[in-house]
Amino acid sequence: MSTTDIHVRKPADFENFWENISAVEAAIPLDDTVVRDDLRSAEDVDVYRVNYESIDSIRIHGWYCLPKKRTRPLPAVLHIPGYQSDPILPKNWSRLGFAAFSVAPRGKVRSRSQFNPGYPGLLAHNITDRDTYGYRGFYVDVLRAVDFLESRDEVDSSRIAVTGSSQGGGLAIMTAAMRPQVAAATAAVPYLCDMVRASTLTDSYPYQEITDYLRLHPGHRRLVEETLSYYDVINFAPQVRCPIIVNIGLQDSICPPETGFSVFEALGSEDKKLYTYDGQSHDGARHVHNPLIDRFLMDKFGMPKT
Amino acid sequence: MTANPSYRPQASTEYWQGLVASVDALDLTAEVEHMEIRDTGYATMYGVTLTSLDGYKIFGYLSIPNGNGPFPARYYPSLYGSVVQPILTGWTNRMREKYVTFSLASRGQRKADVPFAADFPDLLTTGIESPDTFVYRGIIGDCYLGLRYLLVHPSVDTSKVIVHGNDAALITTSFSPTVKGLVVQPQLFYRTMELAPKTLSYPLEEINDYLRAHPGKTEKIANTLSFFDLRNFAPNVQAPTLLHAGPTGSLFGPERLGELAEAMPGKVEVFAAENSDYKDGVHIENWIAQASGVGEPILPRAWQTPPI
Repeated sequence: MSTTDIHVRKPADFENFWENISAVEAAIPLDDTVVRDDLRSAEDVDVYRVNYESIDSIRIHGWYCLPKKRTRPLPAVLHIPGYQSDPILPKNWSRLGFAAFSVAPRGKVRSRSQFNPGYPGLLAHNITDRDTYGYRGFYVDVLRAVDFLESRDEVDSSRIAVTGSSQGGGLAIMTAAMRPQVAAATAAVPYLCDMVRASTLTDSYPYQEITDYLRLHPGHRRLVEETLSYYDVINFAPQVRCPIIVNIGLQDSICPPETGFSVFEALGSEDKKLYTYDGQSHDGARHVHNPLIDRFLMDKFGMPKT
Repeated sequence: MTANPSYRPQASTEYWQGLVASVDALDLTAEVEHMEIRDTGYATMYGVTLTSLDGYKIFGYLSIPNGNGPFPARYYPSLYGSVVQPILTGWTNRMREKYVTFSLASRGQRKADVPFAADFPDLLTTGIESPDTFVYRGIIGDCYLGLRYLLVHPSVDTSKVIVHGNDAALITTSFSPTVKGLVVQPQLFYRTMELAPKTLSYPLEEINDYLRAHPGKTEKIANTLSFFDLRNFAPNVQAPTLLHAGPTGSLFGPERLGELAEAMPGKVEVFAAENSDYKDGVHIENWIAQASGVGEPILPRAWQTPPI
């Protein structure tokens, strides 16, 4: 298995493309609302429903959890959901001492009234046009979740981490690249990496959506490759400077391990570590790796051992 | 159905008989749409819309192998979560070459979310204060309707139908003696009142949230859940069953599921998860290949190479 092959072309105007999008979204006020959810709050955790504005005038939902016993300022963690999973309610992160935010980017439950391409659907939504591609707004929604955390008085803005698995893993890397204030990141079995190649290495969904699309529209291959090159996480990875850990399963049937090796190679961080798990598929050995994620972030943020 | 009064209130027999009769009375005429985008060189995909209990429209992805049938079939009743995929995530699309696959979106899930778009978390406690208002009454009805639809489809070899899923898979199978094999991983309705307090994870945390907010409603919730306990249905599962337990020592570990396995009259293999989607997947795929008579497992490429 190759550990160095990278098949993604980086467009010459990649940075310009994202700078233009950033300029658009930066001009939009966050206009957030934070409402306590008594039903979901527990003895040790306060839970809040958050909404904020993103590009295309779409409201984005998120769950925000705070430890009941807290002293300011809190380290924070942003959890990014997987492709088909519903956003988690991150109470357990708060039990570790974090201000924890779980974002529901457009199309996810509670953020789908204005945009809902479905699953399958999102990966190929307007895939021949980089400017209307479904993931354009989705990426921005995630980036603005960092802005939400940074805006909170109770959050120590020098200690914000991003984490996620699969799509959440890929977008944790993208977010760490686009928001340099992110101080640590963890990416499990990252998706959205070397996407066109990945679709040839697996016949499972969601990458199967690319195969489905190209079977029906074989003449669109160049356009598809062009669009995806602006969104491929491998093209963001060199911009990552924060400490980061990545884990992959060597029998992953969803996100081929070849693409996990590739994105790890591309990461610009000097403090990076790859965990490979033989005998593991897309769960990426979460039973042993999740405690490592907890420990990694708590160590980076100087939090006491629990 | 065989009553087992130690788990369920006496009224539940009538409750479930009524539900089965109501679903049996529903018209199986479906709106069928060719989903060309999901076709392959070896299978054709259809979107199937059925009218379920209360006139609710539910949806299923139906894939039929190209060529002359009938074919063995895999039925995926709805899982807990908003998204329904054409086949289970992580499994290979190539299974569609040998099997009819039918993946059901029950009320509240995507493609079946008008007028009711379920929230997650929230679905497990929607209407939970009474068995008659509990949303899972309709969901189980939807899943049973999906199975009925599959069992009369001309492309399906009705002697080779495998049902694969969570709690709804077991309950649905208990209503139909013709199912050839069941793969079930309990998640929601096994000793729920006893197990929910032992976890902080959703979906069972929904029960904890609800009882914390409504401590005076514990008896009502327990009563509703007793109607749905898998132990009620196990004596009516005739099909050979792969009971997919959690890892040893976990909430749904094999040591907890023995009572469920013993209640099933058919052949039951209790399989403890190995903390590996790959190892579990290979085991399940081998079991299905044997149970369905296909013989050879159809594995994703990544699962065809043994670990180093």
